[in-house]
Amino acid sequence: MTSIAAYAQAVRDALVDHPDREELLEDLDDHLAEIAAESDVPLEERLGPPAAYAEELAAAYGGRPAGRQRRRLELRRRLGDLHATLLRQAPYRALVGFLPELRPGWWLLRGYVLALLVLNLAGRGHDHLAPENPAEWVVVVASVCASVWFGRRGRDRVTRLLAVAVNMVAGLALFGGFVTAGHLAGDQEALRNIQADPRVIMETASGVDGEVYNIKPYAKDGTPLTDVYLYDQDGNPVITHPENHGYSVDRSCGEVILNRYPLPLITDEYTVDDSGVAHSTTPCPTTSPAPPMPSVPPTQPEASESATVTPTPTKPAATPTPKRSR
Amino acid sequence: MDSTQLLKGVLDLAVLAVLSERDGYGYDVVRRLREAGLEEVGDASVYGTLRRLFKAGALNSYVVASDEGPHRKYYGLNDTGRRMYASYAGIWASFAATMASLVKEGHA
Repeated sequence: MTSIAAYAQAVRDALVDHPDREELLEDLDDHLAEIAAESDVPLEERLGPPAAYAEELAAAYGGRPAGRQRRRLELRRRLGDLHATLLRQAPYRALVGFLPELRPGWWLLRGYVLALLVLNLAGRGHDHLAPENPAEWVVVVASVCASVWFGRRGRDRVTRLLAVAVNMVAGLALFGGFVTAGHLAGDQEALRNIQADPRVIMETASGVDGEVYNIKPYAKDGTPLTDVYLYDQDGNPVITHPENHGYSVDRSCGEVILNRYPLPLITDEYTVDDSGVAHSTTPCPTTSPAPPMPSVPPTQPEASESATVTPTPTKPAATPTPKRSR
Repeated sequence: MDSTQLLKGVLDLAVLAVLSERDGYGYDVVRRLREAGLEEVGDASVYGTLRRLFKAGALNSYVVASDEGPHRKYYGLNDTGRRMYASYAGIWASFAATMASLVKEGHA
């Protein structure tokens, strides 16, 4: 008898979306019992699988679901079969048994996520992942309560469809929240990197003229030096920013190495030819040696030395070979 | 082509024909169709056809208690069903005659 009921139920399940399901299946159980009474051979063997039986039944009855609906039924049937197969595995059974216990947690999360989604959509144009004032907290609490109330409601067809839609929106919003959180974390990382950037800001000794934008090295005897490569204590090239002071680097003789001082600077008023290249009056050097790379970071200069640019240096470096000391 | 394809088009007529002899319950109709030679007729097809003809108002039904097995729902032709049967039978006779003469030529 159990096998009859199970077979009939499987047929009913397969025809769950048939518009005349009740009418079609009204006396299915009696009909199947009649067949079963005639022979000891199991129904499934005599009539084929319940899904195939249902398909044949619907075809003979007419008014069968349209192709799309039938494919959906077929998919649902296959998923049902897969579920039944997996249920025979203990871990899957345990998982399925455990999932309902997670539902209240999901209701809370869903309420929170939907409230934040609404606040962000209606809000002030920047993403935030937590309520920021009492009014927003009220919205969040109300949304969480509504979500829990909705979750505890009975499940008719309309509610189920609505629940699927709400859960999908909440799921997408949650995913969006993760992405946003990732971006915010990325922004903070970028900010930290900027703060950690070993930028060398040199100021004039007086501080009146502000930042140093060019360096003019002189030899011990007062001879102006050219093509002097400067590096900081870590071996990073010392770069200035003349463009902040109305000057630009003269690139008319080719690309310039930016830590080779003094820099060939031109004021922005200089003539610019048709190709957009500014011209200075100084002739181009015949050779342009590659910049030397310091094998070891040079000695850290005294603060007064680095900041003082005078035609007669008071304390020139005595040893050409820098030694490491910090 | 197999006979199940042909059967699909004439199952209504076959069921009406069986019930025109005497009333019958679902599985009884299946059995009588098979005994008549339609061995490939499917149980679900017959059951679905019975339910459709019943819904269309061609059949009446009544339940007969049984001491040995489950209650049996019997189906029988009502006036609508008999008119339907007469109409289908006419169409079939004409169609079968046409097909018979056509196929006789091909068969020769």
